[in-house]
Amino acid sequence: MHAVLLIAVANLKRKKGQSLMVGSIVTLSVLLLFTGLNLIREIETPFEQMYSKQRGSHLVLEFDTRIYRPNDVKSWWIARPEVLSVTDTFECLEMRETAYFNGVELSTFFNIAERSLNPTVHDDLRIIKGEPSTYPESGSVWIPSALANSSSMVPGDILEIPTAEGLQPFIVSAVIVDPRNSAPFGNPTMIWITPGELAYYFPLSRLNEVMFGVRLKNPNDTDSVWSEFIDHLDGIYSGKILTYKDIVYRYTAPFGIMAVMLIAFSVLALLVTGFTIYGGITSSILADFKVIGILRAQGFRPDDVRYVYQIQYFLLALVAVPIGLLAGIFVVQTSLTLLMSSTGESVSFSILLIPAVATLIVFLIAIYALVGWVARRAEAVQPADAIRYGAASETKKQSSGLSIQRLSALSVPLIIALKSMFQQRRRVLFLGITVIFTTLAGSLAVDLNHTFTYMMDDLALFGFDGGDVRVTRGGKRFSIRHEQFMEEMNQRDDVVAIATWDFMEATVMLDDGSGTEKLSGTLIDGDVEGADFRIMAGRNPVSPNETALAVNSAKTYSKEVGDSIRFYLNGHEQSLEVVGIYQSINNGGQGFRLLLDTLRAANPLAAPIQYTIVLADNVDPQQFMTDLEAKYGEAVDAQLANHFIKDQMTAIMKAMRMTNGFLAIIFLSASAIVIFNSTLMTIAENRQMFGILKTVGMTPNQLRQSVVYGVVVQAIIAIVISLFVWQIIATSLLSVLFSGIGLVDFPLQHDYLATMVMVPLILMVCFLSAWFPSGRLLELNPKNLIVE
Amino acid sequence: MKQQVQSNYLRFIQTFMFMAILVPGAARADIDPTIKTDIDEFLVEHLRTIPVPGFSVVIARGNDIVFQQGYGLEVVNESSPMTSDSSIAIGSLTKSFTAVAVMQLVEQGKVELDQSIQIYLPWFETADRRAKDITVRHLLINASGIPSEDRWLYSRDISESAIEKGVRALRNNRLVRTPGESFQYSNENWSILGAMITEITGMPYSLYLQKHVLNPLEMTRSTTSLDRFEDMNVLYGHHPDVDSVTPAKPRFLASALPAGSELRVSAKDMGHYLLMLLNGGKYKREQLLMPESVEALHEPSIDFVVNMPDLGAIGQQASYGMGWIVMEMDNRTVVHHGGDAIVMGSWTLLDLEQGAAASILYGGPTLDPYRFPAKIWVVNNLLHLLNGKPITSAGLPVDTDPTANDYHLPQTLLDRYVGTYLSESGYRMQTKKSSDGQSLITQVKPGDIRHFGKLDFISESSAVSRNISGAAVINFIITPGQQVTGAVGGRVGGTWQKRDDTLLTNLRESGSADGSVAFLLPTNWTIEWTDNNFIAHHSTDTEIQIQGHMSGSAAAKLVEKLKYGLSDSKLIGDVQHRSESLGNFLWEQVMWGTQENDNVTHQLEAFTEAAGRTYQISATTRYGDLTRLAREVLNPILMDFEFEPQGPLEHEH
Repeated sequence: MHAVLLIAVANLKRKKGQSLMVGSIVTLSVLLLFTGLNLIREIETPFEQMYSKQRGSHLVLEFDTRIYRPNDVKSWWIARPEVLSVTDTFECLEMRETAYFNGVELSTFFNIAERSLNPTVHDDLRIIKGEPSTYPESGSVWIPSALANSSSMVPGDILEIPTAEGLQPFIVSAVIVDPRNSAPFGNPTMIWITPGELAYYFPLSRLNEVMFGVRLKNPNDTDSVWSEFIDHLDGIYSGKILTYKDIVYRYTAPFGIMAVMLIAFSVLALLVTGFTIYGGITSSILADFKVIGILRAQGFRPDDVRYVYQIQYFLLALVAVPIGLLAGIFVVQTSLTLLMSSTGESVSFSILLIPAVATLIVFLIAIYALVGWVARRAEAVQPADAIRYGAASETKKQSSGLSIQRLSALSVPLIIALKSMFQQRRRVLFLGITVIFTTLAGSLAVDLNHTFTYMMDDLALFGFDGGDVRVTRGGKRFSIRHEQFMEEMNQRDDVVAIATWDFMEATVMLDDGSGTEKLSGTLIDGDVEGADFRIMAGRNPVSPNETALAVNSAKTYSKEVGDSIRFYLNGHEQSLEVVGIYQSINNGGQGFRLLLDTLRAANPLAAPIQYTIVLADNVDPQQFMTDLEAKYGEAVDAQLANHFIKDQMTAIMKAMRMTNGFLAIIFLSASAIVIFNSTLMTIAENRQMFGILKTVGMTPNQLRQSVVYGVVVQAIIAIVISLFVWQIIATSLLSVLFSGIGLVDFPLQHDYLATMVMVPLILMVCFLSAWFPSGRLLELNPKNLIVE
Repeated sequence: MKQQVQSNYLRFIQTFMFMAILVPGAARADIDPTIKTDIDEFLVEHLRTIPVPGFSVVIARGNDIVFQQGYGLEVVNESSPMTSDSSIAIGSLTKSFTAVAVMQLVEQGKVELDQSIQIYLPWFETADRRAKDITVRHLLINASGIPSEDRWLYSRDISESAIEKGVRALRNNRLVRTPGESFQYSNENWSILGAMITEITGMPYSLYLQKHVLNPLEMTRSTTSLDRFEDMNVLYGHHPDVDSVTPAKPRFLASALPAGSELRVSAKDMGHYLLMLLNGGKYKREQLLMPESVEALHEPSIDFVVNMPDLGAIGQQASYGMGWIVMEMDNRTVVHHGGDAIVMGSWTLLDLEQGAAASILYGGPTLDPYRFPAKIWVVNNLLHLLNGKPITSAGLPVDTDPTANDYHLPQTLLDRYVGTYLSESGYRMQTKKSSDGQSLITQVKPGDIRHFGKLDFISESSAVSRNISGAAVINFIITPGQQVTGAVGGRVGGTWQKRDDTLLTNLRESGSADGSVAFLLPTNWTIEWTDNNFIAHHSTDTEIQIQGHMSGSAAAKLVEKLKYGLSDSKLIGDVQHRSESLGNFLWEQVMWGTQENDNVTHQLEAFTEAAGRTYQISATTRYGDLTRLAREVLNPILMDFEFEPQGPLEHEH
């Protein structure tokens, strides 16, 4: 066994290039898999750490004190055995107007709450920027870290908040991590002011809301305790509730998709690793055929020969896997710290240690087993034949299948490159697969980025509508009626279609009689098809007893086209036929569409105030809006269709770009390493041939070209294949990934321009990865080589 | 009882219409007696059809006042007849007077229409720093982009500096439109112009208007100055009820808004104004404005859409001049403007092609256009009658009442809507059964304004609150359990929470011995009364205290005293001030914090007025507790506060 170990170590030393290549690939796939798995596993860790340290609430109740007595409600919760603690009652107020920072309107709405004079029993606020204090000073405000991050606000800045007397400047005195309110996608978001000062700035009549938080001994009890509370209130709670589940979702949901993407790509990376190992061993067996024969002749059993390879790759993995794991730990820590920066927490090394050890063991076993399986070929080597004939001659005899006559029009280096490619098909395969995956990762990055950017131009793809301009009908004194406005818009040449898109709320009566649930939806009317309210299955409603459901609502209520659903609208119960199902990114794919006439059955005077307008092709939306407001004055207020979603999308796309960029870089690195090593191996294995070619008159540069051309040709073929594959699989793949947020039929938009930029970039990396190692050919001395 | 009062009132009106009191007018030119009779009969008939107790009219043609007369009574159920000398609040028609004043300054070279307003009011600023883009013309044509918030509408600041203070407060507002690009009707525009007039001339707006517009026009019974109201015996108008009117209290006014809506004018005086407008700015020998300036006032400058049944226009395109609306009516271009001072109103229409104009001044609220002929219909037809033409329907609604319906709510459901609804804006809406138990009545009393309405249900969740001023839709929020938990809309709008009466068990009623003052107080508070004054505190926490005190001082003076008198004390932060309608009263509020050694306290003073008395409520609490105190104690007190002073004024403190 000692001999086996010595030979394995000697092999590693002897085949440095191959060892480096295989080791690098293993390292990269470990890095990718570890990162993906641990991102998804640990995505909640910074949140949980923060929530644990700052003792966050598992339930937050906010209600109108004209409906419930705060003490009565609190007493019920305090008496529950599942409850650990209940906070003070905080005075709070929900704003309907937006605030301004540096003269720019913020898209986030605020809940303003007064901090307690004394530290609370839980829901601690951690000041990460600003002077430590128990509560904000008079006239100042504490803002959550997510708001500070997204708007680049720091202590000392002035936040203008609309109060009873117009905009009131508040000094930002601290940036805090607020357990419940530091999620980057939370809207509205809570900001804190000094105790007692809501009464300073806001009308007394609006000071009716209070909130308090409940921390449970076991967060898993949240649903059951809440259910008991609802029963206590005879089935109806008229306040607002934020549960632990909601809070976790706000913090982590957008990043979960990215982690899933990483895992999907790490599976691809594992395949690359497998192929690389397979190719490496197969080529080694062929190269070492005589040696194997000699070893067998000297008494090595077939198993011993296999062990040589198993130990050789095990030792390689023993080095490569920990490197990948260390890099993975670094990437996971950095990514989570960045993605969850609003929590102010980082993931400690110790948390990732056990998964790292587990990954190490799994990888070592897997590689050992894989190598054992591949190396069975070595067991079959017959000593006599191997010593006499070897296998290298077989390899050398392997025909390229190419006729030089046919290639005579090409340059000599290119002909050599092509011949070499056809002679080393396995290596070509590995390199090709790597480049394919790199291109796939790049395509994912550019197309996802493009799709979400394109969303700004075509909201209809994402479940909204296809309008160019959104108009709100208003006017304090001079207004216009719904029917009149619709008629006038329909008569305009520059308007292609107009439809309403009022948000509304309905109560869904659950089929099993277990209660009701509130659901937000859209009131559509007018030229629904013209306004491009797209539908996935069935059609949009056309009569008052019909509705269309958003895809996740259809799932939630187990409805399909043709089923009926009971809505409670404005005091009127209506059974509506589900005639269509549409996908929508809005509200996590939850919602419904119904017609104005449906609502008018309950409220005969209901009139929409929000419209979407599709403009003719040559009409400038900005000019249209200006003209519209000039004509109707205060009766209308027009904005570009994407105005309301722009800010939210910016945050999502920032995170998306980060993940996709990481993926693309990893795969690009993998390609570079594979090509680098492959080139070194090619040169090492064909030194004699290159020596001969040099002797017969080829210049060092031509020799170099013969290597580099081969790589470039392989890369081009791989890129073409991957682009083709991406066209076929992309939509299905992304639909699976994004179904959770309502995009079950992902509206992928290919970015051909960016792809045209990406392809040369990948080619350039491939070229350079081959060019640099091919420099060794310049050092070749034909005399020595021919003697060898 | 109420029905009896109403039927007495209707009998009185019916009797009165035949009397058609003719008051000696100032007509200087005779018109055909037949035409005069037609006009008179037309107006008598109009009086008969409306629930407003009286109005006055004036018609001018060329250089002459051809008709001026009052009809009906100044105050319902009283004896004083409405005459052409009765001074009535004309509401937004005041804007045209302010425009005249500005154009005078333009002619004097003191103002350029297209200069930034900041040239004349350097201190004027908006929150988005776009004030510099607003020109004088933008303000005159309602195109500055300043939103119409009417925050000062309920202000009790009666000082001459009220306009400036109001305009300075706009520094906290952002524009909602790009200046000059589109029409946004806003009283604030006119207050800025009022402040500009003061800044340029060194005279308060009211004084400038008096000296340079009203006096030259011999408008002796017209003013924006509160000081003259009593001497001139101005009218205070009427609140709308379900089928009748109730006299308004003699104090409703918005002091920061005189340049936009607070001029009192008599019909006779209005005649002088019309003559000036019809004669190229000349009245008798006074050339108040050059003809070009008058033309500029009536020049269509910016478009908007009119959707007002009381204008007989649904979606009709119109333009705004400077304080005037320009639009097509009966196939001719007319220049007109109305004014709604809530409890009074007016409408004036100029037919510049004919060289004639007419005004009507109402001693009562604007009326439901689907039930009563609108003021613009009256003035338009006065001009038709003057020309011997038949009456037209222009100005009457072109559609049927969209709220008309034949739905009947089952009687058994009435009870669930009954209760008190509290709005986010501080209003309280009472919904109760009518005396016969067959229908529901809603009542909202924001400040000095009152809204009564009978609920006409159009479905189980939607109803229309009807009174003589029109219909307001209320959508009730009903849970699947058939409970009514709130409402949306109504005459003052917004979202309403229905108060859970079981919460009232935490409150008890408290009042002064003579019944002048009463309110609800938490049961865990103790209170001591001395006459109409009280001291209340938490039963176990004496650091939190509320005091009430009645005095004769005007609330505004006390507010000024507090706001500026506190400057030398050990204040923490700024003194905050606001006006807020809570329950049945308008409350001026001043809030501040002070520090003495380590002892920090918050204080809130709230003032309201009734019958010339001020009631002051002072709340003192330790640092950090003011909002809770406001929510738990002050809100119930102020929301249910009743204040009906009796006896002579007390000695002022």
